[in-house]
Amino acid sequence: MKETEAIGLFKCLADKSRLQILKSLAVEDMYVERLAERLDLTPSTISFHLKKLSEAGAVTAYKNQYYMMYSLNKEIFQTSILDILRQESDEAQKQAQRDADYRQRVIDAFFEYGKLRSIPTQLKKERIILEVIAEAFEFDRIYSEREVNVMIADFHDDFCTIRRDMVGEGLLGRDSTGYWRVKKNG
Amino acid sequence: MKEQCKFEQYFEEQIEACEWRGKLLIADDRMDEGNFERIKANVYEIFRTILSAADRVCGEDVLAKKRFFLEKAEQIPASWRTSYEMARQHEDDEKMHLESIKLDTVREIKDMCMRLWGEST
Repeated sequence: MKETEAIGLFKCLADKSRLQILKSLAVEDMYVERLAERLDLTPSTISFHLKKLSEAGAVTAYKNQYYMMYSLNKEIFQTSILDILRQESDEAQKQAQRDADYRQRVIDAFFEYGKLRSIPTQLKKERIILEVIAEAFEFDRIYSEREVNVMIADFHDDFCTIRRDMVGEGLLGRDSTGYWRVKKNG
Repeated sequence: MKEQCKFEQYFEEQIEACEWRGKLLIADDRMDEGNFERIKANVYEIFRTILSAADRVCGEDVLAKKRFFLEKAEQIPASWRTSYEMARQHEDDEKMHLESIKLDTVREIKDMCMRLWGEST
């Protein structure tokens, strides 16, 4: 179920009369007049609610002799709410695009011809800058401190701060043997 | 004059009743049905305004007042009838219901008009 469909369904269900209709249809298939009698509503009101319920995919209709019968769309109610929550959001792609655009704007603002103009004061921006610098390091290779300093110095003179922050941010690992580029989890 | 007051009182009572029922329905999580009551109340409001317009335009002439009122009661719902018919052709039960609420309310108002001002006036 798509996010917009789930929202439509939840909106539709947030109504006592419609919930009563669904409860009746859970017992057996019914026609408009029968539902109207059972729920003490006018047939026109029942039709109104049934239209909304069928648009939300909660009920289906079929013809039986003279009557239009309505039945519960059991399939839709077998979907668990957790399944709906686990569905990728329609917004996810847009969010990812917005994040990528923001990242590019930060890179464009702080780098000029491959050199870092200044170290951003905002942590979020600094993290992006450090990720860019980390890309210069290969995975599965141990670097000496001197090598690290030289590589960072290609970007900015204050290699000590950057090296320390890269370790702090978990982009570089460090022990007695030297430094290495940390692989992202997942 | 007496009939005019009765008619005004009828509108007051109907609007009040709709608002009351609407509040109860909304409190009972029946939002759409609560809105149906608001729609009815709006129709009563429209015709209450027409009644005061009739009073302004026609003065003490009861026959002219009745004619003015019934004329408006034909003109105003014309677009609602068209809308209902369109909805019926497209089997749009939702829209049909909304339009029928308005049309039923106008019918009821016209009946009240006839009762108060009489068939013969």
